Amino acid sequence: MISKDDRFLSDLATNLRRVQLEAIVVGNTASILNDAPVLTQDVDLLIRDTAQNRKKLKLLVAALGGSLIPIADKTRRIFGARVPIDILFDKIAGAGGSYASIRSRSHQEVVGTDILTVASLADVIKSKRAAGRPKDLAVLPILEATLKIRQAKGLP
Amino acid sequence: MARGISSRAKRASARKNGQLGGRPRKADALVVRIRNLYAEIADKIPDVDPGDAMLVIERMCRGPHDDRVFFIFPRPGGGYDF
Repeated sequence: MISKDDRFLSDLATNLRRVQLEAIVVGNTASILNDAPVLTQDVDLLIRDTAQNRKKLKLLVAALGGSLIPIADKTRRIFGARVPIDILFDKIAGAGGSYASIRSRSHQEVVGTDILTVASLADVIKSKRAAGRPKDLAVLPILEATLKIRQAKGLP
Repeated sequence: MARGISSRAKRASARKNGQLGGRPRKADALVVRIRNLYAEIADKIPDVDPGDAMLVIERMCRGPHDDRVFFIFPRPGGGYDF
């Protein structure tokens, strides 16, 4: 059975494709899609900061029936969807480089009936360590254990 | 259910009550997959707590059609919903 959460991510993937916005799932939703046994309260999406993408982002917000709120210079939040969706432009903290380098290590995962591009678990761990907030540090041991198990299984 | 009653009797009893009864077969298959995968890689992950490893491996064995949970929702009065 497809859960409400998988269906939500599937709908998000469909809408991203519909508005042709290329995005990478980062943060703890990426951890979960990389098999980490954790839960989260939002979805973090990394996109390139271009004029075209900012237009596509508005279309995505309209498609999701939400509204877009600035959180910081390079961060926006979409409210009104099942869970908040944070949009990060160009970079995630500490993950070593540009959107292109994070994308080069990303992979695709099936969600519901669609597909999302997901950051590597190693990149998520780097970003959590760099962010350094108590909630990021608290999750590090289980993410590191997950990475070891994935590597033992020959997964990225 | 009283001790000593077989699974077959439990299933028969549950069916009589209009339910499928017994442990779901899918759950048994999932447990077997988790045990097999753990046995395959246990030697390579000596420093990972076996309980944590089982949780991770369960995630690995579940797909998008396995009722996965991603999100928690804070309740106004405290605590969380799934």
